[in-house]
Amino acid sequence: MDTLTVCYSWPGIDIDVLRLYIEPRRDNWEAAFVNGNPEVALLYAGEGEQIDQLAAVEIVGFSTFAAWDDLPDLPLRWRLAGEAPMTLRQLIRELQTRLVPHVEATARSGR
Amino acid sequence: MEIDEKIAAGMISASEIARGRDYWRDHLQDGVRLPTGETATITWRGLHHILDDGRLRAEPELMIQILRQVVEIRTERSDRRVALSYWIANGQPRWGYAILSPSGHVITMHYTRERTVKQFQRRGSLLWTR
Repeated sequence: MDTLTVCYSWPGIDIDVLRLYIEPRRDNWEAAFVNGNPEVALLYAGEGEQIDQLAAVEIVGFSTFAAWDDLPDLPLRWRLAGEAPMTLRQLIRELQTRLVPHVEATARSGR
Repeated sequence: MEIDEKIAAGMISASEIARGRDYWRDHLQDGVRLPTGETATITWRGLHHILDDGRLRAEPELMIQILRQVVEIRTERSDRRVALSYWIANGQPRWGYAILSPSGHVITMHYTRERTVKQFQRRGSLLWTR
């Protein structure tokens, strides 16, 4: 199973959208929803009519995201630089715990 | 990663970001009137998130195009709404969408493709159509 190195951005609660960018970064995106859910978009890059390289994953409503079954079922593992590879679900959950204060509190009390 | 870090890392062109910021100041900071009559706003922070997309950096006027050419709005989770746009450019059909917060802020926007539009039209409740 291939492992992708990614970085992320999350502007905050007001623009509650997480993006995971696959390295090397490519842009000029075209978005496709996963399972028809606009909370989960795969952002593809390319040139002309060949827009077929997965470049990023976008999660709208990241701080409260729970539509785990709508994540893409891709045969990939995802790794932040210097960290262990994870499934996409594990990585998003991990970032929720790190970035969103109330998720961190819930995770601590629920563990 | 913040936009200035991306510029410093050479991931994004400083001149393109400057152009996007200028465009926002000139055309977007007071909001854009949707065909529904509602005004959608792009905040400064939201702008930088949107400008991650190279297409929108290269042609910042597409931000207005996506908002002015809305043809359908549907409900989404957490009181968000999804606004679907359609227009013709150089004889070719183009689709885009914007996700609006309950207060009318644009939280993301993208070009998309026809099959995604069809998926979009199977979700949520129709709030408005042109």
